[in-house]
Amino acid sequence: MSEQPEIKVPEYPVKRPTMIGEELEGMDEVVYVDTESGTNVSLNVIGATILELCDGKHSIENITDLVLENLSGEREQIKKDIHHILIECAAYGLFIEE
Amino acid sequence: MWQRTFGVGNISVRLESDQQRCTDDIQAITSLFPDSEKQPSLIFSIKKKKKITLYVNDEELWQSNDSGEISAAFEVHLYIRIVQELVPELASIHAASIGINHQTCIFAGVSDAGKSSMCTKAVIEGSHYLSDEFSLLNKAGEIEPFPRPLQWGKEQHPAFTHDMMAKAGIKQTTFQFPDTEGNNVSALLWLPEKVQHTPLPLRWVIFPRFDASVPTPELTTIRRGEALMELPQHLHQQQRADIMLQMLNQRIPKDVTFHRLRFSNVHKAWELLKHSLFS
Repeated sequence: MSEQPEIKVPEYPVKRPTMIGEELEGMDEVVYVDTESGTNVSLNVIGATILELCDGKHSIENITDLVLENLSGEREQIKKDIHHILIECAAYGLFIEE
Repeated sequence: MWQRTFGVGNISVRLESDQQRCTDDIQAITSLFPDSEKQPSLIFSIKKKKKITLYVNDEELWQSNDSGEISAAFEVHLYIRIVQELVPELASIHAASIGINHQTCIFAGVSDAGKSSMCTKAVIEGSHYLSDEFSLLNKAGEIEPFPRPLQWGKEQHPAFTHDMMAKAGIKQTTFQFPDTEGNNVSALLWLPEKVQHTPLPLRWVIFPRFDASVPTPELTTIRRGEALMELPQHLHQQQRADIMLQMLNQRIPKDVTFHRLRFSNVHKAWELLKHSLFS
């Protein structure tokens, strides 16, 4: 059985500038489309908010702090959830590669 | 010189011909479009010079000694130029559209997905006909008619007999043109009786897929997001991906529902849609 390659999230992730999001009002969904390749991916609003914070200036710690300003919950759990979302974004190739 | 002006979407198209055979074909191809008195933005002319020549807005498009070839060129260029002229006011989706209860259902998909079959069945069952190929989405979320005649790829259809069509009041006409090897090919054009001439709000988007392995039809509701990721590929005028996505999201009303339909039998598939969506 072959091992799955480990997906790494950059320390300061940067969303690909060609990924443009379109919010579907009232649907808790944002569809992102790559203007170069035409590929697309759908995220819920929280996932999209986290992706938009990936501007190369925010680490996962900073993103967690910002999310906690608007969301109540246990810090470590929220950090884990954010990390999980960032791994998914990385898997879909939504970040500029380092 | 024969002349006629018809309307489609927000434009008018004038047709002129001094060739009787071409005039007959053009009349058949455009017979379902309503007359218009608006100033035309497209003028198609067929005139005999040394050869028979097709022009659009005085630009020479095609020359031939064969009037059938000119009629075939006319049909192809007519649709292309109309769609070019309608964008961006109207977005043309590669989809068949029918009117039911004053609302529109579109069947979007690639060739051979079953769009025209579903459309034909709907028309036989009394739905209003808007188009079998060009669904024109306006900024108000309505579909504007583009009623070219219903066309099958062949003279016979596996699901519909000519008798079935006649009983539904769908008239038949033919159009002959040479194929790429110069052989004369006869295409059947079907002219539905109940043609919709005004826009109707879009209510259902269906992605049909003919699948011979499916004994009973399957209808699945899908998310708006999933549909919006798929629909841009069915637009006749391709633009940057985010522009198409945004345009469709803005124009398609919030109460529209989206579905996938897999079927092998168009009659059973129609019954399923009727009971699940249209009742």
